[in-house]
Amino acid sequence: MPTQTPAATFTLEQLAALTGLPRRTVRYYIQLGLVDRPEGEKRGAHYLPRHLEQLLTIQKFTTAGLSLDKVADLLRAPAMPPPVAPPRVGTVEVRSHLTLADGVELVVEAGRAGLTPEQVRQLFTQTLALYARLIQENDDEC
Amino acid sequence: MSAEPMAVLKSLAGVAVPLQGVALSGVIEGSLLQFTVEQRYCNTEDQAIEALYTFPLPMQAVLLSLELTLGERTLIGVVQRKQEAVAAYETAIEDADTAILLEKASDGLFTVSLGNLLPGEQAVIRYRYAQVLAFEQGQLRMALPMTIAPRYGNAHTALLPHQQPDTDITVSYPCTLTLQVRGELAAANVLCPTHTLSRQIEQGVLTLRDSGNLVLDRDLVLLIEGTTAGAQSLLARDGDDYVALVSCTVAVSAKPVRDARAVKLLVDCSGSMDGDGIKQARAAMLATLSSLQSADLVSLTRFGSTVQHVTEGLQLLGPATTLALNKSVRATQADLGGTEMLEGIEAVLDIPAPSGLVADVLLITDGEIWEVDTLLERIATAGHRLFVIAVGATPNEELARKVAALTRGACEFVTPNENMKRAVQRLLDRMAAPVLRVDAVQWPQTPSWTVGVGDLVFPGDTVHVLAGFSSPPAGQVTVSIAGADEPCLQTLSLSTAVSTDTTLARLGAARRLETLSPEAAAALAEQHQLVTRFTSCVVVMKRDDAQRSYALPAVRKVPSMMAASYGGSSTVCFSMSPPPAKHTRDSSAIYQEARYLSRSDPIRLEPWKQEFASSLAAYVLSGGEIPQTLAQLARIQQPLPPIYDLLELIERGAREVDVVAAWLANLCEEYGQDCFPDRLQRRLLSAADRQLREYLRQL
Repeated sequence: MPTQTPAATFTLEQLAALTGLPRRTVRYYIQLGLVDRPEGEKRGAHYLPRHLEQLLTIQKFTTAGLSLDKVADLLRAPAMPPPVAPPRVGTVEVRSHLTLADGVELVVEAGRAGLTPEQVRQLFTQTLALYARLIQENDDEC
Repeated sequence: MSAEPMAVLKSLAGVAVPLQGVALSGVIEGSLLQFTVEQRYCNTEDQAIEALYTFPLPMQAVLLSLELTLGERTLIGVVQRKQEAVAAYETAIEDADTAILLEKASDGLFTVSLGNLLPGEQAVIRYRYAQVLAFEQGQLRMALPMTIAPRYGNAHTALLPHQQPDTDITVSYPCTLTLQVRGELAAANVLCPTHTLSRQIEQGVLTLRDSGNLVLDRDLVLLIEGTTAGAQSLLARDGDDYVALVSCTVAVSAKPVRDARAVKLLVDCSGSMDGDGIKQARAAMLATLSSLQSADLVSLTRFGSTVQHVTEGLQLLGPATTLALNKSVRATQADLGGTEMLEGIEAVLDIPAPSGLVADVLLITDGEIWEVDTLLERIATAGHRLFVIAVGATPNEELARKVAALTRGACEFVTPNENMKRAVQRLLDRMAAPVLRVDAVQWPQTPSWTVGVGDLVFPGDTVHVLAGFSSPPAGQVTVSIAGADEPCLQTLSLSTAVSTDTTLARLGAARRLETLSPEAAAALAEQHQLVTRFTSCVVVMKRDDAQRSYALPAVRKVPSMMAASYGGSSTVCFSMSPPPAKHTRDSSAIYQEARYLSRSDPIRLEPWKQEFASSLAAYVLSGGEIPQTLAQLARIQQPLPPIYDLLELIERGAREVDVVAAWLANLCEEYGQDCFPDRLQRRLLSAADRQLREYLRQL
């Protein structure tokens, strides 16, 4: 009868040595949720091969220049809904431009934003009021 | 009764930001700047947090001390070897104690970690740093970086993951400032081109304070002009030994090393330069073209994600080339995407120069890239000097200084409200000057160590030499500078007053680090308690068992404020004192800005003006039309007069025809009686706008 080989376990120091990452970085990845928390608690905490695998995956992405936000997106990818496809070449979009002042515009493509005409009106009205208030406050200060 | 709920600052992601605000207080005396910075933190969450904050400091700043105040207790940090400090911090976090770790993340960037800040707790981290300031080209410029603008490239090559700063456009950190200027400098002309500060002079001390609206979104810059540094020495104890600092400004009369020069202009047109940055870049290029002579060669190259040569190689600078280049410069936009700076530099290095002529590169950039070390490795053997004009409200000091130092060039930092013309001229003057070197220093007794000998320096810049002694040195010291037409010796008496303050000894130790092996440098840094790339500072505050929570604290990175005017997101051109009432394009605002920007220009009485007046009279009398545009002006006489001032006015919204008319009217007033018939004088004078004429007269 074959005997079951116990799963390899690692200490934090061993994990750091195996990946070449500082201990601090391993902990940071755990705090961010990129790497699973260790098994066990306090001084009994230990790590499994899956932790090592997770660290090596992150290392591969960061070496390629990806930010940790992007890495997090990639690691969560299977659970994420499919991304909205960007507009195809040749797509005609109608956008509303509201000029608040010279050099200040609000641009809305209501179809993509999913806004009703009433919501667009409110957005424009409130943005205009906000801008007017901002300028008024600035003038008062001067 | 519950306490009044405190305002909670949240990031764009909706997470509470623990940094509440910052207080700065500093003193400038002689060439020494000392600053104390207080960062206030509060955990408004219901769980323990670890706050991480990466912040900038001047590259030459030396961190001297660190304190943590938590409730009633204040603890002082201890500098240890990096690995030991990190291990002490990690152990404290695992043991559920509270600790702070201050690390040097890179040159000019530091990261503070504040671990296990419990719910509702407030903490104050207080650190102190010092810096030796240098008079350069007649002014002393102090810049205090406040935020880190987003940088292009792979941040993992420069910083550890927890040190990499995030940027959040919605956060805002209030800041207070009190800065005292003491001694002779208090009587000098002290300008702040970045902020509106209040001033008070009392008993010979100038005190500058914020006006209540200071936030950490741009560099704070002070310019001290109208005084000369001269030579000075300081003497202080260094344990059982002594340390001396000798500073002198190199004043040598030296002929330019060559008559004609070749300048390869390389301008950063990446997205981060949009807005104020690209406006400044245009001003820098126009100023450069205006200052070069007709026998000079120039090329213009733009870079971003790609490289675009605007000129085909180096062009001889004649009227036609100047006009074409001026047109290209005015059309330059920040429209090339990313910041592939290395590709840009390599492309201009490949532009061939005529044999016998040395070409220099003039790089105009905000320097916002991460991969500085990779860039430096590749340009170390460039064979060209790189001169850098660093623009924007938060330029990357590390990039500009290191690129210039490595290639034996120089750099100038120019925030949007500083005078670009003068900065360009200072750089071009250094480009034409011989490179000098601190050849030797004759001390009254043999020092045990010296730093500063062998440093390269340009005329008008300051040399700082430090040395250590086993007994107090007394007498005269002579600094000899090599490379000028004639031998240059500067002799001064060493200070007889011996300070017991350890600051000078620690500044000396910081300078010595670069001359030592890593092991020796680490030992010296630890001995002098300096936070360096070999050492970090740690404070551990033990908790009672009742307070301990062994769960890992939630990490809370303190995001940097979005740098003012970054990528055209806003403008800081109108945010200095005296600010215009409102940003409008009416003529009074244009005059106000232009007058301020040119406030310190020397009055010029170039001989070409009279020659030009004669040529104009001859041209009109022979049937030519009175010029109405700059291009028509250029047809009157070659070489083209320095019309940078006129371009600047047009750039700022004045009509070209009005500017030209005003300039001609002033010319007429100065030289009309000699050159112009009465009828022509009447025509020229009647057509011109009075306000424009008044402005141009002041230049």
